[in-house]
Amino acid sequence: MIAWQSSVDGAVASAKAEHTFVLLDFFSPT
Amino acid sequence: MTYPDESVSAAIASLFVPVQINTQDGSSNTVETVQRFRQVWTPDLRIIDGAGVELYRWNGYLPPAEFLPQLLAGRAQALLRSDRGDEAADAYADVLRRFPTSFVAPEVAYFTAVSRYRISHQASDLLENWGHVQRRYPMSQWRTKQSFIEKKS
Repeated sequence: MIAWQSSVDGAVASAKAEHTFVLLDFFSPT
Repeated sequence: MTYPDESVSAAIASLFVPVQINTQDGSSNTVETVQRFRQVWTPDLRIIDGAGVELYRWNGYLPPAEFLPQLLAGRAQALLRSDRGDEAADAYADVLRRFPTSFVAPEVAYFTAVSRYRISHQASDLLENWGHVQRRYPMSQWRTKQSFIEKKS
């Protein structure tokens, strides 16, 4: 199970703190 | 379905801070984010660094067997663009070893050469690894992108 977040800016801050990257997925429900 | 695949979800969880934006939810936050990233078509995946800079992107559905190498290749490119060259070279080598017949493999082979050259500054690291692209992936666009060296040899 992936713990998707909904805030890009929050994820970017986490990525900076963890020295990692954000995976941003734009999707449309089908 | 791609994300329920265990190998895909494990890679995302261990290597990224994952964010999903439902482009159809109608919220003001989504509208702002879509405009901010000039997003036009889904699926649309971006790899972003801790400064908010986009380092890699791709569009379109991929089944798990292709999504995972694409994801890992994107991360390798993000490492390369983040001046983390040793990690990038290792990441590219790992993708090429595990997924040599994947759609993204020719790109990975091309940047394996680039990442090794950027570490060693030895032309042989670039040319020998680009030679691998030529031999292993002769019909790929990445072979064409290094084909100028073939005319010199």
